[in-house]
Amino acid sequence: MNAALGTGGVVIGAAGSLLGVVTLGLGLRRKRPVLLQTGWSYSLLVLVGAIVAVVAMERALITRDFSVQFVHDNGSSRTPALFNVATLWSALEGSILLWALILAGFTVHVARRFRRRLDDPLVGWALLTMLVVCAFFFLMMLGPANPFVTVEVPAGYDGPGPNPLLQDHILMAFHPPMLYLGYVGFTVPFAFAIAALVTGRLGEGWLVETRRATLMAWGFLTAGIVLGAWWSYEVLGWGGYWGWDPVENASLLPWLTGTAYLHSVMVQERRGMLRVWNLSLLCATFSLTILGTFLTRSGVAESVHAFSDGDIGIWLLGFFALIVAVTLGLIGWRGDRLRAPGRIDSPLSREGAFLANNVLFAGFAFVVLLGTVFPLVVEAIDGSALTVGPPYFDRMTIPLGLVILFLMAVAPVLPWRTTNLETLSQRLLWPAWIGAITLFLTVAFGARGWAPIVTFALGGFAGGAALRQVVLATRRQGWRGLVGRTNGGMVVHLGVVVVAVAIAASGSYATHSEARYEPGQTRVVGGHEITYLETVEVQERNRTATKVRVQVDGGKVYEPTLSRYPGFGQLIGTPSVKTGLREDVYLRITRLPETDGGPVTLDVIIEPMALWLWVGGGLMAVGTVLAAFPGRRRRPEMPVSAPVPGAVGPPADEPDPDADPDADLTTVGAPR
Amino acid sequence: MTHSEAPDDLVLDDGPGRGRTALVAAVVVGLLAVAFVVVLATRDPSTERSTQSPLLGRVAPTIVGPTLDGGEYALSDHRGRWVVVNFFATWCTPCIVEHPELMDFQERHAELGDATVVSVLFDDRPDTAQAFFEREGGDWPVVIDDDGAASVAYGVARVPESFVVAPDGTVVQRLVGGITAEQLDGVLAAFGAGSETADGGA
Amino acid sequence: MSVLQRPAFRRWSWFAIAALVLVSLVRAGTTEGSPRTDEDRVLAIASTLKCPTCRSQSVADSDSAAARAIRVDIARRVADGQSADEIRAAIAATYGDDVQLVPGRSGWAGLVWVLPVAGLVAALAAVAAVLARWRRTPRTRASDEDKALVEAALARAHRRERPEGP
Repeated sequence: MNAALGTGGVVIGAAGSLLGVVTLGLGLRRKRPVLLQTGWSYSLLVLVGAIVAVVAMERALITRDFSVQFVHDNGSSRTPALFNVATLWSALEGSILLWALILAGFTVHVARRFRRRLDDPLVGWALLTMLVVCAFFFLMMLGPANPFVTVEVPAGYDGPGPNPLLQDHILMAFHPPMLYLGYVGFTVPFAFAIAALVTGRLGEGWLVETRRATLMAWGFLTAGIVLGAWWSYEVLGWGGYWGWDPVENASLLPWLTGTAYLHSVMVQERRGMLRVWNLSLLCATFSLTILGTFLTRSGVAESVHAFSDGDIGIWLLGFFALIVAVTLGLIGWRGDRLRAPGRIDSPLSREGAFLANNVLFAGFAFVVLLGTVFPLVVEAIDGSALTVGPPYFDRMTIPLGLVILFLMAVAPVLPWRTTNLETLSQRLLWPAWIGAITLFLTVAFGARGWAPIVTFALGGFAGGAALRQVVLATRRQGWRGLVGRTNGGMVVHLGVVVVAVAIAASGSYATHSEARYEPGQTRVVGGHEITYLETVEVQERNRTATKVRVQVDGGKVYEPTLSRYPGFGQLIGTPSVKTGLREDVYLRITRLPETDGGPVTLDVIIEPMALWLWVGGGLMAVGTVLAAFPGRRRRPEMPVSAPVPGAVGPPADEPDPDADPDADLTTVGAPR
Repeated sequence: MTHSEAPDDLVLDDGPGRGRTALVAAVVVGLLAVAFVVVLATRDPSTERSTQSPLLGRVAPTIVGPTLDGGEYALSDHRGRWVVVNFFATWCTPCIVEHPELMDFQERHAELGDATVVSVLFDDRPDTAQAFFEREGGDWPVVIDDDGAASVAYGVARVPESFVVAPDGTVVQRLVGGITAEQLDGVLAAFGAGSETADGGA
Repeated sequence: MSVLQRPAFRRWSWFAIAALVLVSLVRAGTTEGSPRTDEDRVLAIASTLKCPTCRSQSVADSDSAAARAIRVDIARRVADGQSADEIRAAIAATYGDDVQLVPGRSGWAGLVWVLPVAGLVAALAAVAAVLARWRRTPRTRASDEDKALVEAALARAHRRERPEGP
């Protein structure tokens, strides 16, 4: 019953998207607005289909209907309720279903938002593109990724439950949906980019319209990545949060190009330049989400995460190839119309900084992509097995990251068009002081290693610059100084600085200490007292957990665990972390006692500033929300000299060197 | 576009120059993309490890250490006979499944006197292994490889994994996963005739 | 913050900042790092080797049986006085070359080091070339008509946002 319902839902979705594609295609070809108006109905149909299918699957999961193969393979009566619902996205077919649902939701959102302009070919082509993507995912669910295959259930059968690593922590419930909201969210601006290319209407309008969707997609992607890192830290138990694992890289790649795009569009909005960059970055972002899904699902790149299934790989790869081909074709065809009316007058300008930003982020993405697929390429060429691991990625990306950090400090104070050293000197003075003092204090406290020291110094510099912007904006506009694109963006930058500093600290100054502990023995590790109390075995609903009780600093007792889940042969280790403002004490079991009352081998890792990673991530999320607010600012096409509405500062036509650079008046060449 | 009077048509037509650059760039990127896709499409998603090993054809690394029954074992003592070095653990299902096969092989060849089995305990407790052998049977030495030195010497990451060592002390075959007595007999037959090829075809 | 508008203040400020940075960097450069213990060396070498049962975790990070055994082996070799390269080669000899996390510099593997650097150089060269070309080609002059258009638009924008007028 669930399977039939679910399959019905998928069929409705597939049919709706295919019919929508055909109808809209006809409408656009024959210029029949009536047909274009149906876009709204077809989108709704697709969404209805998706909802029905998801409801069917969740129902099957909740009622433990093992006749559905997906539930048979991944569900269990022992799984707690929340994780049971989250089982939907713990395996391949279910996660495709989730993707399809979110995609359908975004399609309806676009149709609704533009409902008064459905007969506009731009909107028509955008909706068509989205429906094509919908069609792909729904067809995949009728093909290789069918979640509703039925299976014979032997009497008294109980499933194995989702992978134990996915049952350990509440975060598992949020990490994939966040990530998918990000991935799928980028479909919206991508669809409009295709529409703009096809219709030849390559002005800036579509950018402005899709700005908020892009921002929210980026925000979700950022949140998804940070949550993934948190899960890796709290659950996987290897003491780190980022391993340059192919699946992690797959989520980072679209984030990198997406970040570059978010910044670069500002240049296009204001001066109509960097159009090819923006289109390429946007299409690259979307393509990378598909490529990333391919790398994750096809099992081609070995990974902690990998689900693998041969067939689906070919489908995803084919879709990726199609997208790249269409994109390249369209950009190549419209190349002549992408010529910008302006040019970059000086490298020392906001445009120049954004161009540099694009190059750096593109380079970063290139390095990550290269490292991820290189083993596959080498294997294709001469068959030798090769691994590209964290040391390579660290060595390549740290310098890039540092330059980006520097750019983050300088770029927001750079005016448009060009500037002089005078202006820069005024604006960068306080941030430079903060950076220099940070450097001095860092060294004074005995830090070693050039990479973390430079990171701290640049972090101070960039943080100071961002803080300065926020202070100036709030002084001029009150609380409104915190919302809007620029100000929200500065909060996001602050978050990035916090994350960068935390990464440098926890990456360079973490200490491991593996030792044997007799019951009752205390050791001092990194200034903390670690006391091993005892080992207890607990039978929980879905696992048998052996907990090692450890007291840290004479206070709370922490319980790193090794668990056995029936149906999974291996023991799954879960760490226990004492979070502190300055550092985390991370406990994990290396070896359980062999006899009752015997010694246990514990690995104690001191991770400095690990908490600030998550704080920084949260700050980035907050900043994104702030940036999405319609701040009281000039519309992007307004000249820089136009005053910001509601500003309480001096009237706009007096030069005010400390003003928010967005209202800068020392712009050379602006006609007065 | 309603509210935005943004310059939709403010595009300077630079003539064929710019258009051609874009076309060339698109073609180049396109070719790279094609090559990339072809490479990815032909990758085998299987994560099977080959039965190749750098040890094949070389002298078997020594295995020396205490056994379950309290004695001391040395691999070199068994020169002149075939030795099946079997890495196992009691928590590993394929190991449990292959155990009767090993027993069968060992009993037959103990009579013939030409081959023997030695098990190396991999990440497991001696008392559990002891109980296992008492329960299931199996009359061959089990080396307690406490610090994992033997597994590192043989490059063993997962169990079960077995190596067949010829009477002259060289490793002739590596077998990943559970094995059968028939498989072992096959290896003995293939290499026993004095064949020099170390590149096993299993 | 009108003090920023005084050039003298700014000049001295920048001097002071430069001095502070220089002193800090010199201090950082000459501070003795704590001597590397054997344990440090073991972990350093272990972090460049991949745990054979993991997907890309290093031997230092993983707590699988193989990783632990390899750590013990590395510790033994470090105590023996073997060099990092020797130890890596020895482990790779039995576990296979793909256990090295840092690709070698020679052969096809070397490409992974060369390509990013080459790419960066190419990108910088391209940007420099484009900027130079833009500098060379003369800018279009604005016609009087265009200028009038812009003046009118600016006036509208300013009036719209500040109805009280200058």
